[in-house]
Amino acid sequence: MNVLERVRALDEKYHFINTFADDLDTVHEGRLTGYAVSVKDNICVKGMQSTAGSRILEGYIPPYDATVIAKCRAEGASILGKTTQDEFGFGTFNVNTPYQKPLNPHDPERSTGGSSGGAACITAVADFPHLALSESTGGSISCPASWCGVVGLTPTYGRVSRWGLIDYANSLDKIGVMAKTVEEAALLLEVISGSDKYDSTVLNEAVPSFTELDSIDGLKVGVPKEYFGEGVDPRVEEIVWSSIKKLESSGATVSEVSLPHTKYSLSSYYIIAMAEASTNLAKFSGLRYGLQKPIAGDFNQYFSKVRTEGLGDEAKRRVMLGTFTRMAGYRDAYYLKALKVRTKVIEDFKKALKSVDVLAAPTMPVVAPRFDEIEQLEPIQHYMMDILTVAPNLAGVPMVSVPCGEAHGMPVGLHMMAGHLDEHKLLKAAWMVEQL
Amino acid sequence: MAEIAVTRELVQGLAKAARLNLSEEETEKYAQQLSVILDAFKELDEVFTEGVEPSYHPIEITGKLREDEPVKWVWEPLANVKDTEAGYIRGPKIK
Repeated sequence: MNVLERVRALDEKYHFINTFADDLDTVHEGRLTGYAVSVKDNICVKGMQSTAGSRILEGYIPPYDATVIAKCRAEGASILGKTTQDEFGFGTFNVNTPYQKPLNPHDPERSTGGSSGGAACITAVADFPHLALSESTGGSISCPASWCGVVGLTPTYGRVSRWGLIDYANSLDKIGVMAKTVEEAALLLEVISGSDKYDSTVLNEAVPSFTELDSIDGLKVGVPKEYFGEGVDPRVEEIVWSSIKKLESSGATVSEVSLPHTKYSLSSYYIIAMAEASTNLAKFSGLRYGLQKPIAGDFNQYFSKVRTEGLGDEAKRRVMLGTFTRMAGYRDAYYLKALKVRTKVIEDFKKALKSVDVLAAPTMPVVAPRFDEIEQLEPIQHYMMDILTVAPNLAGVPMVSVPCGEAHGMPVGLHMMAGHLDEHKLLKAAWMVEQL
Repeated sequence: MAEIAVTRELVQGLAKAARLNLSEEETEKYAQQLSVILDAFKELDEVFTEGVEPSYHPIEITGKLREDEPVKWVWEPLANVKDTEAGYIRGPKIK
């Protein structure tokens, strides 16, 4: 059975692909030769349908490769297909999709997590050389990586070009990676990082050799006290603490730190993300690509018809909320206030990371929930699930979820966070956890 | 943040601005959900932010633009358009 046949067979069981590649041809030889790379559906691949998980982009065939895809191809990677996700990244469970929901490989009655559910799922089940290109806005790499038991790395905002990414929230979106091991995650990150003339927000910084991994002598680990306690499953806490204690036994120093604005990061994040999403989604008008209907009525009637049909329930909710928080009369109280609170959240991280190398906490407060449990949740309860991942995403610091054990028979992730552009230190710390 | 009464009229107004058609039932549902969410956002009032600069990005963005030099456009811009006429996109009438 070749790799594509194998992917199809696995997908029949777990539903992680939206569009399959026709073949796995590669033109170049390089560091990714032999790897099949899966791509989250919101990253454009030339000639391969890219929907960002939305009906409104159904049929859209990008005429170009995103910068990250071009970089992977130049290093010999073959692209195996597009992985399923919550529509535009709007979700924590990968259930906000008009397509098939991905199933957690550890228990098919449970969610993979979101929004990059497909990427985490295929990474967990792949029994061939595979790497996943993924994307996080508020936790969309860390969450599913944690719940599916794989390594998920979100780089510093601006480390990786966003050119060719179908935007959710421009000031928060980060293309990142998933892999079975820290070393493989480091390899893919090294390939896709760096400046790009097509993205004016990408940082013009040298890319370290992320794959050079070894232990950090006297690693200083900070444990943010706000990330434990109320709302966090005690079994999850126990597994995470045991991992931190093992690090300590192997020579790391562990101390408590504080990120005092953690509680407010959720509201700040959702206001900013929804405001940016509502402007980004304004471009989907059903005329130039994706869903298109027979022309009827005036402009507004036509746009409304296509958008009503093409956008899902959560997308509509976020677009309306984002429209509200940017409205004259409310903009200062909501949008501007959220941006100021974001400044406080960034200051929290800078302050905490002055005395330690990395921060360590649970990635998610619970293990992957069952689909019947998710069905009972109100939208606000979906948002609250992101309480441990939104703050580092708001601050744009790099973070990695590393598998660190099981609770209730399901994987638990240890979340490590570092300062801006400190991915190398972060990867080394994650590698140390992997060796425990 | 002021107390917001999320009325059906407000929801209909937001939907209209966002070019979405809502049924009566959806309007009712979104009014209830938006009310709960906007109410939760009010917790930001507890954070003292006087004199604090807003962060439009998490890091400093140089926003440096590339040189303005002509390049050959190799994409086919109309490749995804279903309804074209003489190299143009056909759209609805402007009222």
